[in-house]
Amino acid sequence: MVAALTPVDRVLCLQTVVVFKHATTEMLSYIGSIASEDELRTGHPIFREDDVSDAMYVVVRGRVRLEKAGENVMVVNPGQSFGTWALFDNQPRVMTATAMEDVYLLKIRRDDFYDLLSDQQEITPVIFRAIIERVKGLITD
Amino acid sequence: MKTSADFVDRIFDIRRPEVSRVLLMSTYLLLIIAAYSTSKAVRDSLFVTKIGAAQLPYVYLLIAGAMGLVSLLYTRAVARIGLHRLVRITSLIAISNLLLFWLLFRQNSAVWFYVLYVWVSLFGAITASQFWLLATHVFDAREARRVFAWIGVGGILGGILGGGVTNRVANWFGTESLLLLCAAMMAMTIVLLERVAGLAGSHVEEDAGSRNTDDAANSKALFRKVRESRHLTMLVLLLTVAVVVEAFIDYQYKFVAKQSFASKDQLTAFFGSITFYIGIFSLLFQLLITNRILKRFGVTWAILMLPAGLLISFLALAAHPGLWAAALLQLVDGVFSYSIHRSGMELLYLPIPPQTRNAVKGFIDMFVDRAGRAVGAVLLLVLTVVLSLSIPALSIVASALIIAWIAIIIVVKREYMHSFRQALEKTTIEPGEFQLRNLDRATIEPLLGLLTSREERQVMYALDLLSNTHPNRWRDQINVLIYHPSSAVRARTIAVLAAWNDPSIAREEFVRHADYETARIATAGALRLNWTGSADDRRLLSDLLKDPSPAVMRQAMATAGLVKYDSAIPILIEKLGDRMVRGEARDALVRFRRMVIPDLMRHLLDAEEQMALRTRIPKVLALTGRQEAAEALLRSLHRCDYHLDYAVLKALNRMRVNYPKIVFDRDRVIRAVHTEREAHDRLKQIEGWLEANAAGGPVSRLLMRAVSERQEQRLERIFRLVGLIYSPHDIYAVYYNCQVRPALRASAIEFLDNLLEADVKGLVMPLLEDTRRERTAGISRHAVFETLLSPKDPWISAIAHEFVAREVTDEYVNAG
Repeated sequence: MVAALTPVDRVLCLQTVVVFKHATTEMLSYIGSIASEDELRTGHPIFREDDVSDAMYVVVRGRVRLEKAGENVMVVNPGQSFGTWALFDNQPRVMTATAMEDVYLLKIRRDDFYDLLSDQQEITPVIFRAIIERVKGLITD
Repeated sequence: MKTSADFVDRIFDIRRPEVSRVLLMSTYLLLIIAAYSTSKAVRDSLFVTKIGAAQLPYVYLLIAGAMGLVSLLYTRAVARIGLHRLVRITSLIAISNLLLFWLLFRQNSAVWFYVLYVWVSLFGAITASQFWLLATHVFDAREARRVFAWIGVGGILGGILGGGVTNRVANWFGTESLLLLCAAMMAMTIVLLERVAGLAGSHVEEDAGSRNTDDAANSKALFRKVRESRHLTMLVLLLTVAVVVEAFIDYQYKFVAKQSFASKDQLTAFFGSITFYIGIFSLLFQLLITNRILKRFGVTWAILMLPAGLLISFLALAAHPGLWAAALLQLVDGVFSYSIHRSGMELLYLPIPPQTRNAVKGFIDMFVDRAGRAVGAVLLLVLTVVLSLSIPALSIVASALIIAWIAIIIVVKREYMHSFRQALEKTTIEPGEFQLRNLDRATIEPLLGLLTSREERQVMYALDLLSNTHPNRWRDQINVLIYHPSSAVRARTIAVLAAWNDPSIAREEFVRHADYETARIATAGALRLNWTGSADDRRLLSDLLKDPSPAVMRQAMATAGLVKYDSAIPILIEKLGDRMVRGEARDALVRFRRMVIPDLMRHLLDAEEQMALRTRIPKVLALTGRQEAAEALLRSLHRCDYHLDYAVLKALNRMRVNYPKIVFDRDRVIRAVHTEREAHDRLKQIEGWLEANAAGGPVSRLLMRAVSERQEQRLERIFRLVGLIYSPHDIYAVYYNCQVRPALRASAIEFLDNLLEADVKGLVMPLLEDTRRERTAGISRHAVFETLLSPKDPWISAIAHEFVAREVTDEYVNAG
């Protein structure tokens, strides 16, 4: 698929992703450069429970439903991300993600992400910082 | 100088930048231990002559209680005032107390002898604990593993010095005069402490408090952990019995010694000479025998030697309760405790995961030692006061305790092997953490068993653990590993053998292995063993350096660096851009030292060269540690693009910290600060203009954020530059406090104001003050967009173009 988003558009989408919250706009542009764009029709499954997890997604347009054992867990709206932990953990997917309407997604594959971290080392500490904040938050909650 | 530093590195495994720290810390420990052993001899002699040995169990109880109290206060003090200041205060208190004792003992008041006895015990425990805590701040974990053993030698020498001095001075000037000597030694430690703190930097002030507070808070969890693990329970039991027996040794040794000497000074001299011999014998034992016993007979024998020796000594004392038997008892205890027993006990901790291990050690220091002392004291009181047992009878009781001790050792050994196997299965032992060469065959057997596993992960882990152990210990397994189905295992085996320069990689089975890749890896490794520099060798190595397999290339690169094959330099530089092998390429290039600097600089400044490669070059230059590299890097600043400049700056900072002798041209650094300051001010004006003329759209907001980030980055660069001509620790602390700790911002700025000279101050200080009102002054719309759209900064330019295309209206064009 031909990329429809400009680098700036991609950064605008990625700046809301929690694990990238401490990344500078330029770091986000590097992360955006490894993202691919996916357009899916209503009802199309993005991934299923127990699938191999190898990528995270950001919703650009449309909405995505997340289900676990047939139960709705949440709806992901434009500007929100899902499957984020696939970047850090290769455990199988714990939920099923389905396009509720026609969706346009940014997809970041784990392998590409690690290659990027290897080349742009200054990104690693800001990702760690966000993860640590998240873990601390979980502990204090 | 270079040769002597290399010699120290090769023989003692101490790197050049560590030498001064190791010497300082060893001398520091030597003085502390000398002061402690001297004051201990004074204390013991005065107590048993003035008060009597029969009163010793009471002071053991007092010590146990006092240690509990002091430990509580001490933990709070560390948290409140920081380690460096606390060590200094402790030393000053120690000096003043020693002088006070010296004055008080002219009056012969009984209570002060009790006070001195307890005080010396606390002094020994606190100063030693402070020293090792300080050491963990002066050396990082990797350095600590290599240098702590050598620093420990300073402690043994301190015991020898203290014992020798006590023996002489007590006879010449009297026992009490030794207290003045101890005060003088402690005064010298304050001078050393200031030097040590200077080398360790500001982090000496941090961490310690929270760590101790956490220890106290986690004590309940630790109790549970010890109860749940049979290995830990047995370990704690073993240590408790040892502490109880220690009370018997101390009591009987001093009791018999007192009966044998009429004069107080003779008794002090005797205590001194025993300490002296303990130091000499433990040093010899540690250097010549400990490792051999550990390797040949294993942990069990190592930790059996102390109780076995004590059992013989107690039986001798029971049969002939004279001075020689008491002295033998003390010698056996001192020599074995400080050498083989300590090394053996360290190994018993090996299977415990690192985070639990440190906590358990803290728990043992805090509870087991105190409880053991109290139990020992009570037992002695019952036996001596209630039952009025004689020295021979006490020796029989102690022998019975030692038999229990030996029985526990047998159980501990079984638990240790079980835990060791489990730790291997769970891969909780960290490679390089312990010297496996010290382990006996029986202990190492499960590890060798892993090498024969078909599972790649297990074999790789075992190879990682064994990478610090000479291949002779696992040579039998090499034949199995050569034919392992996993190519990763075969490659790792060759890499480990090659790192030891082991000739077995040149064996036919390796270099003519059926798997062609394995054969080439082995050939690349073997080349360094038989390198002649002939045309054939050079051609072969050149081919291997271009091999499509990264594993082959890695070995070839390591060989090229080791044999300094200069024709490899271009390909090594090229491979800095290849993420699969860039680490090995860098290590190999660093081995060429000065020779490689001009080539690296040429590639760094070549605008046609790939950026992925150019950004790796500054780090390689920094790792050479050469003045020429620092000068070349500084000259290249602001001649490269924005990101490359940052890599150059980071490399310069790395050199500044790791190689303090490197000098940076002050004028050039200040010129660079000027350039950064101009860029910063320009960005500040642009930011002000954008805020004043906010367009409100998402791209506009993104542009403002990007400009603000660039400003922050310019500020960071200015601090990095200033850190090249001032103490990097100080400058980093100021930057950190300004950025992360708003409450400390004002004092950080005040500190910086006092630190910087006028010319630098004029450049840096205004950046830290809020000059919001001046921001929009003197910049036109045209100048703003000229800067933003300039291709010099591709990212800002990309957003600015998008902004102009999407969100700029006619009204906006006419604004400003």
